Amino acid sequence: MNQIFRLFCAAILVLSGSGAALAESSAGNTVSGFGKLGFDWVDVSAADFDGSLVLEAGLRWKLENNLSLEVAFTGINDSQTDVVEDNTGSYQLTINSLDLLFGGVYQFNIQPDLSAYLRGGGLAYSMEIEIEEEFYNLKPSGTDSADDRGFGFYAGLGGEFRLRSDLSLLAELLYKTRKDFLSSSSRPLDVTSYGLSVGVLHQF
Amino acid sequence: MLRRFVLVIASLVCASCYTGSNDSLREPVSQQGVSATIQANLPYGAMEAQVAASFYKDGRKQALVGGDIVVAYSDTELHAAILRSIENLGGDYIANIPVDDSEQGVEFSIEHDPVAAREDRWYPVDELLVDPGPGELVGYRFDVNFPSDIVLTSPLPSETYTDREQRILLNWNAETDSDQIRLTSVQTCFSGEHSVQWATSTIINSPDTGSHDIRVGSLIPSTTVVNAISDFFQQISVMIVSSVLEAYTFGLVSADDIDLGAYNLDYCTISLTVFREISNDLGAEMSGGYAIGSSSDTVTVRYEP
Repeated sequence: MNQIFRLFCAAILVLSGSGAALAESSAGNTVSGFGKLGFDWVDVSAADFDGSLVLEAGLRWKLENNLSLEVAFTGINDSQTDVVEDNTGSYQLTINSLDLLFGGVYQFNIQPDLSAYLRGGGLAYSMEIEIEEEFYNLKPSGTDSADDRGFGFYAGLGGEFRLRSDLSLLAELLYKTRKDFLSSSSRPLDVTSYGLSVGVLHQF
Repeated sequence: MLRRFVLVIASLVCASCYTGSNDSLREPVSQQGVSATIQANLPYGAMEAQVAASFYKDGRKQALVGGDIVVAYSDTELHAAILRSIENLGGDYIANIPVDDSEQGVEFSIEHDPVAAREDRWYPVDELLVDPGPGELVGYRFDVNFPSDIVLTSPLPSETYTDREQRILLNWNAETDSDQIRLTSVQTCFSGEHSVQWATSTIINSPDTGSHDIRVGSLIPSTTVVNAISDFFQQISVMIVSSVLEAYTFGLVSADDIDLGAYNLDYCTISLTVFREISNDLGAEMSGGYAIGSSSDTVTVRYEP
């Protein structure tokens, strides 16, 4: 289990605790917590990274009838390139990221139990990339890694189906882009992911 | 598609194709110690030289990995080019490099530059780098000078031959006796929608006499086609004349067999390249091999039976 994934799990626990505390302190049912499990396709520059399972957990505060603020944690979990060979050696890259999302959600009611929503906002990331390189058994192999923090944005659309007054099912498409990863390097990268996820939303 | 029809036949038949003399410039690779096979070629009228190199240790070709590279420099290091191998671990390195002043020749250097070796990669190699350190070939340097230009005065590019018994008369400017002249040809024949391609390379003049004639039928046999490109000495010249990628892609330097007699030929193009070659000193540290500087000129004629 990598360090970023451990951080992610810790963040979920913190959010759960915060949600419960906020619910206790709030006057009405204005705070919701959600959790989702999905699959992200990761796109970095010209490289072909494989997709990865991704978790997302967050809180929403209802500002008006259809508008909420949200904060959530999500990330990239061990997304890898294929092993690529060239004159110098063979190499494989792995990306992990922890993302903090902060934005808004606008909901459109379709039927009493069914609604659609748009969400979007900014994100802050803490990302690590690792390279594992071999030299055709002619020289010793090794690994190296680099990490960086930065910002980006996200946008998504989804549907919410209310199972009961305090519990809903969610299904969602989410786009996230993390700008200028390794910004001090010779070749900064934008790391983009497209995800499909399903989950539950609980109104505290 | 084209590759399926590349013709490369056993060298036995080829013996009748040419009566070339032995290569007097190329020392064999030594079975002990370090050897190098290097060539720099400057085509007539071009401002860019083609450079190729291979390195051996105890007779075995060495692949440069982990940040070791061969770099060619021209015009007193005004220009530099990293030689690349199309086939990973192939050990045959080749590149093109601008040459403004051919008098200054080309310098080859084996260096350890882990960032430059990875400059084609998409990610920031200055941040992500596994450096296993230099290999034992790093530090060798070789200078290669070019001979005087070679200019073909015949045949003319427009010439068409209709009979295999006709002879192609090659004429060029003769220079010093110590020059060695190599003829490398790439034949491409068309039959309906199909095409076939193969190459030959041999020494034709040593010393340089300024002329040579060759029977069309020896380049394009009626029943079988021969690829005489059996060793890297000849492969380098074929890669140079046909461009590196094409030579590999079309199998010009490989060894597949195809029966030319099965094809009803519409026409063929014969690309004839004449090289003027001189030998350069590799230095006392080298156990074997050669460093050839060459100039070349190319003409393409047509055979239409």
